Amino acid sequence: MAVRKLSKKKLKKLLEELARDRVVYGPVSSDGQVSFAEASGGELALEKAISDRPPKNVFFPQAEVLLTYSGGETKDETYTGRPAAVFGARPCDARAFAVIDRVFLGEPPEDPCWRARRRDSLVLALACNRPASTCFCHWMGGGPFGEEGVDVLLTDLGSEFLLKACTPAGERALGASKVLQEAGEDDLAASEQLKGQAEARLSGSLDVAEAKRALEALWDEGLWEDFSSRCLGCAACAYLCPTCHCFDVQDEGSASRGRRLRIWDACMFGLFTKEASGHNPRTATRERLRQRVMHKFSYFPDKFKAVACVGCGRCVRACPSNVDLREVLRRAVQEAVKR
Amino acid sequence: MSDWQPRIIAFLCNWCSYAGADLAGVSRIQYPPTLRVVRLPCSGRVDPLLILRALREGYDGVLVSGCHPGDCHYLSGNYVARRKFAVIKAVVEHLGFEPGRVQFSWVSAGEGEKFANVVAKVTEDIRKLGPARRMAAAEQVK
Amino acid sequence: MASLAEKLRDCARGLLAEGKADVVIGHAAGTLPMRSAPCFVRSAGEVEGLIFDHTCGANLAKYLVKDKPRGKKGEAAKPEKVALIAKGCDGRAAVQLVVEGQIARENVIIIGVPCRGVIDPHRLGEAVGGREVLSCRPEGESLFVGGDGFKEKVELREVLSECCLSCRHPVPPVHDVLVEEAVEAPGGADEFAAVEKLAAGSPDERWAFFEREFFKCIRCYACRNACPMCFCGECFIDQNDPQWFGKSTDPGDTMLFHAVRVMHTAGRCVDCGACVRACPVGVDIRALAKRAEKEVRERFGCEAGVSLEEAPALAAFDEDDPQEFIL
Repeated sequence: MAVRKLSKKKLKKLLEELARDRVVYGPVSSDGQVSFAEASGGELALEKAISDRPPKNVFFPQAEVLLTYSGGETKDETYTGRPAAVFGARPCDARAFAVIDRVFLGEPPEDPCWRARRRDSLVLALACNRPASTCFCHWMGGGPFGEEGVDVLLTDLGSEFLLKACTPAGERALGASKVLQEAGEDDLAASEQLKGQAEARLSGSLDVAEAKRALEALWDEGLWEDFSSRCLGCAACAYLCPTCHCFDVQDEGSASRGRRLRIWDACMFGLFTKEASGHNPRTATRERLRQRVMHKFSYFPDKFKAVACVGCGRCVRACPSNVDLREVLRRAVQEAVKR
Repeated sequence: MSDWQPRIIAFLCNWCSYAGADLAGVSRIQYPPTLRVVRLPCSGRVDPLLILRALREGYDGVLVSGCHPGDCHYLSGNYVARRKFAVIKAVVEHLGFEPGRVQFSWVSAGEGEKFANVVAKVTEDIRKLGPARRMAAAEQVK
Repeated sequence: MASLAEKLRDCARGLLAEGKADVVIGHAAGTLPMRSAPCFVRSAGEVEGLIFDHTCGANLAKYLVKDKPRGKKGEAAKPEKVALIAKGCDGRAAVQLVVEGQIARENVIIIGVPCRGVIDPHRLGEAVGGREVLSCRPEGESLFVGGDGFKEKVELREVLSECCLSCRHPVPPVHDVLVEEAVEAPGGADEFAAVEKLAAGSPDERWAFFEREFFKCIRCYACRNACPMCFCGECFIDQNDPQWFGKSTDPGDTMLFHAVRVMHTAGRCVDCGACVRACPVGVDIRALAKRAEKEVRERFGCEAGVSLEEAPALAAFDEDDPQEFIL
């Protein structure tokens, strides 16, 4: 697969090239928060180890209009725009796209909204030279230079980026660019060295298959009570998670005109499982926290053969009550070992 | 713009203000046809949700009217309401709705003329502010 | 001379040993630098984990009402006696909950601790330009903050929650135990300065400010869920018959969600700042709430949680309440 180089001074030109046929998204800083938005160049915020909000909104906006109706006519509002280029996502975020692909594209019926935005998209991920202390991608089978879900992997070499094609789409993108230079053996070696250093910075280890078995064995045990007692049941974790993809469909408007929206939802909310009869099987945070963890590490792997967590650590940073997923997993493994 | 009629929603308590409005009607007192009336048992029933929902719907103005303090059919409903009204007004105006969009009055069952005057005043105030524009600007999904 | 943490642990140990409390709710060290975690201590042996410092930002009074079964008849279980390690605002919230009938006075023991302010993680992040903080050592009025490739000194006041800068109640006015005498609160700032600044501007300027602020909101309800005063079995925003406001991130719906929440907590909010600290995206949630607090304080002379005898401001009235704004 092709490898190229780009001087950082020419980054804007690369983005302009991409912008000819695509909508280019990148990490943008606003009031101290980095999230993914349409970006055309100079204002990309690439310094943070990880963006505060994941790029999942590119393919899965928090609020998406499905259809509008007016005067008896219904209009399908499914996205028909240009394909996206996501620049500057981290390998964990790219891997998360692949996780959600399994749900929305894996088996028929496909999710038409995700498909419409995901079609022909290009993911140019930036490898992590210096992961944050909250990163645990390596527990989940990923890594700071991981390539799953990535079309082009960039490495920050200092004044230049190394660009490595990881898929045919990535190959085509590199081939089509007029601002890239050839990369040499030294550049590849430098990238490998950075990769080794990054991997060495990641701390701890966990066998996620062992964690799965442990969690399943501890269904009725006290650890759920211990962690959930302080859980507030908000959706900070789920909304900042790159793999969470639950949604609700809401109709807004009147009899004569309105719209149907798809909006993010979260299993952490009290109402998530409220049934029409009024019964709610998960009224307490204990059941809901357990469900979220089990879904990510047990049910989803059973169904889709992949863990629904990429170890980005955003939930760990965002949780107002310090419910630390790493602690939940570690404790589960410890307790299962003791038994 | 001169033929624009403000759309004002009015929450009127059944026992005093609604009756006062009715008296204005049977007395053939002329007043601007700008109100959409919602009858409630008491001004104390007025929930901030009703007022804010009305603003969300794009009403140009909101009028809330009840019995004079001391005359509430339920004895103290309007006393409790009076405190809520002060807070609602403060919060709505601090948020950035133009002062005068949400107004309050005490109108008794025998004050048909006062009711007409209140409507005329509120309508004129809203006319000067122009059509509701806060929610129109906010009508988009990101 | 025992440290504050030691005194706290002794107190907790005593209450548990004497059977006066079934559980002591306090703070323990968190898994991230400068973060703590609420903890629930049920035996004398677990008391060692209790801490109290600038990281203790959670309003523990929330746990007096969280996950409480509502509307079920025949609740046979005897309610637990809860001892709460309370900074000034936590204690006021607990008192307000008692006044509002959410917990019986005899079932809560307010352990007052003198608070010198808690850190707002957003302000800490801003103070170091968004870099990750890996170590933080307080020293007097400063913090020595370190991370990957940097070490800096920041002023405590730069990183404390805004509400702490104007704090008037470092210890709970109503308490059962006071672990240590109050020292000076980090207060001193004018608590309504930001409100007055906005009020001096035009309605368009205020709307632009709040629109910009609430545009960041992702409707995760961390603010509402962190708030001890938000304990409704069904929150208005979750009602769907009628649905008052949409649940998407539509700016109009979002601004009005926050406006209604401010009105629902008016006269009840103790300005603990837990909402601001809980918000994952850094919305200034207090900006509107302070206006309601100012109105209640100035117009009715009421303040939440300072007295067990005072009825909530908006559930009470005076025949002579001012009404100059009513036609």
